[in-house]
Amino acid sequence: MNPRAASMVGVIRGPVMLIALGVLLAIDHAGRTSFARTWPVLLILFGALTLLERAGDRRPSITQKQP
Amino acid sequence: MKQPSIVAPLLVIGLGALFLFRNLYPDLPLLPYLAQYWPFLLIGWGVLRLAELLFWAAASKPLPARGISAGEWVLVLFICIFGASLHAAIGFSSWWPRSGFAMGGLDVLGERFEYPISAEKSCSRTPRIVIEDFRGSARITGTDADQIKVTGHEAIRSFTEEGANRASHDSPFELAGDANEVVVRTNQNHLGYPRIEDDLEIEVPKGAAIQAHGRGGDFELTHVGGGVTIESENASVQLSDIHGGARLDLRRSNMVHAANVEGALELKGRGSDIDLENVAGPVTIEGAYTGAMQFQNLAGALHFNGPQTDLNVERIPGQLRMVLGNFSGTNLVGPVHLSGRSRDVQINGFTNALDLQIERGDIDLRPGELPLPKMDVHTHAGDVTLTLPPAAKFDLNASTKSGEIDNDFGAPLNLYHTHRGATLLGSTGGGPAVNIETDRGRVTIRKASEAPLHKIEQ
Repeated sequence: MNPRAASMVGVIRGPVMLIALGVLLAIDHAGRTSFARTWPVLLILFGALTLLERAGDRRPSITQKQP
Repeated sequence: MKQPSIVAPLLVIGLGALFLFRNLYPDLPLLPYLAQYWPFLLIGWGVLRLAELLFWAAASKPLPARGISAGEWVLVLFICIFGASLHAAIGFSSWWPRSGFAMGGLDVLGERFEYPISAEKSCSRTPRIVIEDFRGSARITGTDADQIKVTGHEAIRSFTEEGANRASHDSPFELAGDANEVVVRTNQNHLGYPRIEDDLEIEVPKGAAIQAHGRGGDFELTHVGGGVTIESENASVQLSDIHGGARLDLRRSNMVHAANVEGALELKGRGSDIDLENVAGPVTIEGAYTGAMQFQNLAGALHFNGPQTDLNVERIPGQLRMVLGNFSGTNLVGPVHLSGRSRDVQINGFTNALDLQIERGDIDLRPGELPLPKMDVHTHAGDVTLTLPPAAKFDLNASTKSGEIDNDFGAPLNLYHTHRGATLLGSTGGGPAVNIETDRGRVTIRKASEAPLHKIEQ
């Protein structure tokens, strides 16, 4: 992943988290699955997006070290 | 330079639209909808922001460091606190069945397993049938037999057949009690189990009184001789040929339909449509109903007490319909009292007395036969049209603070112009007082054509 894509992941992380939060609360209010059970999804999503962002950041730094 | 976001102005437009909707349809309880669907605000916000960022990226415009700023997250937190409080205050709870969107009729949790139910128990001719903690649909029919007979099935949603079998085993159907009081027990309420619903056909003696407590589902009662009491968190109810009274306390209902009820009908709660026909006793309705309400041939008084509307009618030999901002009645026996916020009102044929207080809305009145009823009509903003038989005798006091008055009755009535409005005063030879007042709108006093007016059934 190039740095531009990595920074893009960092930028869209906020809106994606917001959408996920909204979806989990909507599912809770629809009486399907309680938010008390599903909230870890937010942590997983946050971790995954952060990982994706870091993965994009690292590769350019490795290529920079190579002569 | 930082790109200005379009999300904030869109949120302001949305908020404005919400308040406008609230003003146009004041009878629609927005709070329950807001309490239920506020998370979609977060989803919409996220989607808009995401689309905006992707658009900026595609257009090679500079991107902000963070998609959602710290300040915006604080706002999200406040919205969540407000939404969750509202949700709790309105009384929804997450385990509440059918409280959300139907998802196209598909239930997403697990597979559906069905188990047959069949039971019977002899009882007296006039037993009390108590249905406990019920979820599902029940059709209750009165028969000539001295027994209660139940057939149907139990539907269990589970991921595995073993799970469903266990749940079915632990929720046995029973008919308990004695000959005078039979308890229908579905034992669905086991914590930790998936959703269990029963679909039952219940035959009861004709003289039975029914007392049902449900958590969700539908009740259909036919030919029941004793009283009917239904309490449910969420139910649609259909009653037909009920020889006693009925009391329905429904926290939410899609539809309440009652036809041929010989006793009093009392309805409490919140819901959508109400359709009542041929009810002999008095009808009392208390609560917020957002759909179409229709009343036809009510021999007793109707008392409707909603969050924005208050209505009392002595009898309805004809019909009365209320849908959102519209109220129309035909052939009503007064005294009729209606007060509300925003409604257009048309009444064709009414007797005794009419007291009408509306915040906003046009009013069109055509009283029935002579002599005229006494009328007190007031609207803050709206036109008032009163169509009277040519031979009507009345004592008129009509005024508008801003608008004109049209008078078909000529000389006995005198028109006075005020600053921006007008007053029409006079008498056509005695008769009841007719007071009409609008703050902003036109008043028309019209002579009816020779075509016969609506006949009032006495």
